[in-house]
Order: sequence, then C-alpha cells, then structure tokens
Amino acid sequence: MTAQVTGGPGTGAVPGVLPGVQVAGVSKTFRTNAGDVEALAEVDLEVPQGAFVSLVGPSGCGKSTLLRIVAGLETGSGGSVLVAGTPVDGPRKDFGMVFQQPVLLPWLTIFRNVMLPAQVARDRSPQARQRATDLLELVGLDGFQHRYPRELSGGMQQRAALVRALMSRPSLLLMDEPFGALDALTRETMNAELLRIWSETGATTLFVTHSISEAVFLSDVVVVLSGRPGRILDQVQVDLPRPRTFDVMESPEAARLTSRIRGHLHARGAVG
Amino acid sequence: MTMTRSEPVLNDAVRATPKRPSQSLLRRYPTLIVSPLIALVALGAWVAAIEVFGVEPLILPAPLDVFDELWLMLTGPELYRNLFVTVSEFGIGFALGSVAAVVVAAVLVRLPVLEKGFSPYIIAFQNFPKIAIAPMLVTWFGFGPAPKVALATVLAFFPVFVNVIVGLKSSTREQRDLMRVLQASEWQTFWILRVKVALPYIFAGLRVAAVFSLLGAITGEFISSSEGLGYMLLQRNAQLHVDGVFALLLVMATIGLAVHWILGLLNRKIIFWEDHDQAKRPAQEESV
Repeated sequence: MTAQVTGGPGTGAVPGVLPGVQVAGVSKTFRTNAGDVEALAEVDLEVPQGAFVSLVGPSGCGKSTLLRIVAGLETGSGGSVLVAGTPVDGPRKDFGMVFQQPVLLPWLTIFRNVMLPAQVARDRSPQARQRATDLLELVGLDGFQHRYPRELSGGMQQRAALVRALMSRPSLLLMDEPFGALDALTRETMNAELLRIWSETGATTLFVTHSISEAVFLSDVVVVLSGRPGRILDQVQVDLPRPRTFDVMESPEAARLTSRIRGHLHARGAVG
Repeated sequence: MTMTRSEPVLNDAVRATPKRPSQSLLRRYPTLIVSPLIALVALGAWVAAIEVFGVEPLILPAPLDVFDELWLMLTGPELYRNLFVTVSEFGIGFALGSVAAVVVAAVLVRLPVLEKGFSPYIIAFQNFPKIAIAPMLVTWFGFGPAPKVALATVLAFFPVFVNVIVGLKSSTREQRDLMRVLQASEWQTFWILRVKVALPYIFAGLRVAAVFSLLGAITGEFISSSEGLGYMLLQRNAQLHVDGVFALLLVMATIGLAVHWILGLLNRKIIFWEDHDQAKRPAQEESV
C-alpha cells in the first residue's frame, strides 16, 4: 500500500502489523416483549491497524449491532472489544462514526456542523478551523461552508458527515451503511472518494454494507456474517491492487471474490 | 450553481428549491383574491338577511352601522385606554405563563422520576375547565388587573408546558448517538441539540397559548372589572348597544390576528431551518 499518511494516530501504520480492533467472543441478546432475540453469537474478529474491513450479511444479521458495540454505543451481552489494545467501555475520542443518515444539524451551516466535535471538546483553536477547512476541501465541499444542510444533495451531506467524523483524527473510523440511502451513481463516486480519503488518513475502517460489490471494491478483508443470530461465516481476503479504480471490479479476481461471498449468503438462503 | 472544482461531482448538484412553473395569479395568491371575495359575499349575505327577512337592528345591526361605530371608537380615547388594559393583562399573563411553562418543563424533563410523579396531576389539570377557577381568582387577587393576569397566565401555561416536554424529547436516536459519539455532556446535548429540536414545538404551544391567554384576560374582565375590552363589551351589551358590541368583536378579532401574525413571523425568523408549509401541530389538544 502506498498510502500517503498525513498524521493522526494511524501514522505510519502498515496493515497486518499492529492490532487495530480485537473482538473476542462478543454476543448480543436483545430482550423484547416477545422474548429474547439473539442478534450476535460469539463473534471473534481481528482487524489490523490501518486496514479497511467490511461487514456484509443479510438484513438483521447483527452487523450494525457489532459495529455499535465496537463504537461503544452498545454493550455486548458477552465477550470483549479492544481498540488499539484498550478495552472499549463507551465512545472514545479516537473514534469517528458515520451513520446511515448524515445526521447534520439543520440549524447549523456545513462549517458549524463539521466543527461540532471541536465545539463539544471546547477546542476554539485556529488549528481546528484549519482542519475543518482542509477536510472540506479534501471531500470537495470547499465553497459550501456557509450553506445549510438542506441546500445540499444527499451525497454532499454524507461527505460533510464524513468530514465531521474525521475532525478528531480518529484512529478508528466506523461506518454504518453510510451510502445505503444514495443512488447508485453517487454511491460509486463516494466509494472512490472514501478510498482516497482513507488512504490519506490511514484510519482503521470498519464498514457495514448490504452491497457485496461495494465491500469488495473498498476492503482489505470482507467479513461475511450469517443471518440471525449473526456469526462469522467467512473472512474473505481481498488482494486487489491499490489504489483501486472501478476497472478493478471487471477483473476475474474481483468476480471470483464477489461470487464467493454471494455463495456464502445464498447457501443460507438469507440474502436481504 | 457552478461548481468551483474541476473534479466532476456526479449527481451532486446543489438541490434547488422546487419552483413550480408560472401559475395563474389566482393560484399563487389565493389570500389576495379569494379572501376579499369571501368577505364581500359574507357582507352581502349579512345585508340581505337584514333587508329580506327584516331582522331587527337589536338582533343583527347593519354592517355600515357597525363600521360607523368602529370609526367612532377608533377616533375616541375610550377604546385605546381599554385596549391598553386588556393587551397588558394578556401580554403579562402570556409571558409569565409561557416562561414558567418552559422553565418547569425543562426541569421536569431533566428529572424523569419527578416528571412521572407529576404526570397524573398534569393530565388532570390539563383536562380541567380552567375558566371555572376565574371567580376564585377574583376572591384571591381582588378586582384589579391581577385576577385577569392570573387567568391569562394559567391558560397560557399548559399548551406551552406540554409542547416543551414533548419537544425536548423529540431528538432522533441518530442525533443522540451522534452526541454520544462526540462524548458530549448532558448539558451540552441539552443546549446544542434538545433545545433546538424543541423550538418548533414551543412555537406551536405559544400559538395556542396566545389565543388562550387573550381569552383568559377578556373572560376575567367579564367576571369583574371596571376597565378593559371585556368591560366595554359587557357595558354595550347591557345597554343593548349592538353596533358597539359588534365593533368590539372586530377589534378583538384584529388583536387575535395580529398576535398570530407576530408569532408566525418570529417562528419563521427563529426556526429558519424548518419547512414552514408543514407547520408543527400542537402536541396535544388543550382545553380552556
């Protein structure tokens, strides 16, 4: 990987060397009125620092739940999660999260929205403002700082959400189906941009998606989860050369990986 | 909109505000054309009722007589003196009731146990006909403006209170998750997120509260007073001065509209990010 690393805790990371995320025996059971629902069953997962790992699986397989547990937004019913060697007991400063919806605050301009992490951290430094400006430029939103979210398209809103997640220089970037609500064309553009930004920040990235091709295009490893209760069926190593362009998806290797993942999901008859 | 970057940003053009193709004047400004027409028709029906059925002026005065009376009122001092009294009672009661409602609701939302404990009483009092305490208020506060202000305050309180409670809880799970991810304190989440999310609800409550507290001020004057629009109205009613009664009703209608209009303007200015074509309905039906 020839990533140009621009600082942050991920600096100098080489995938496969340092532990990024270690998930050990994590399970999750939701209590509902209709009885207990087992969402995750004993998941073990190792993500090397700096790697891009996708979680795919049928609807309701608990992939978002797993992501939320790693993020510290939910606690597992059992097992443990270590990020950069430290147990996760809640959201952390070195985590960045992008949700399915952009979740921009409609009363704040784009600039104020991406400055929200700095505002919460009471960081009024010019460096924070500079970082916001730089990141907005990185995602092509320069010139839109003073617009309000509703004036931007869905894709542009999600770029702003990505900038907000990157403001704290996260060593771990968690993305929960971030492009699921976008049209196919915008989604492809966003995928390419995400890869470019990921290679520049070097953050370990955990990416939940429904789309097999999106997962193959983006990832170093695609983790395939089964239907409820979610357990890991396969971890598919994607050795397609980087930097990737859409052409890579035409290659026989990409086709082989895609069909391997699809095979796992169809074997269970559980594709959402 | 021209993109400032040479790099193509597919499908990402700035979302334009939807502009409909040019429509007829009638469709675009119904209130400018249709509304005056409706007023004309109503006036015509009014006059026709008097002419055709020979309705006594004591039952239904002629529109022109009402306007004559209104003109007399508008050119004399009596109306303005009494208008000032009523509007002050209303204004003070509305402000006191609304502010108290916002403060109490904000405190209760932060203390869920207390909120639950109070809720049966709140529901009971909400559905209680609060106008019925007006005579008691006179006993407690005397014959001056105080009981009118008190009634206006009580009536303004509940619509705002209920809406603030609902509004402060109306943030989405995603928004709360975002604040958690950013490790915002409860206090930060309250000011950055919850207050802003509650504003449209607060305004919906204020609109109901304004109508109610004006009603409270005038009802208070009905019960005992020597000044105010309610007093003027009762006086004219007792003297069978029907033109005057109708003229005063027009004045009261105008106050109501003015308050509605001012609140609407503030709403649009303050909550600029909402789609005001889909105004928030008050969270709950209220009883006077």
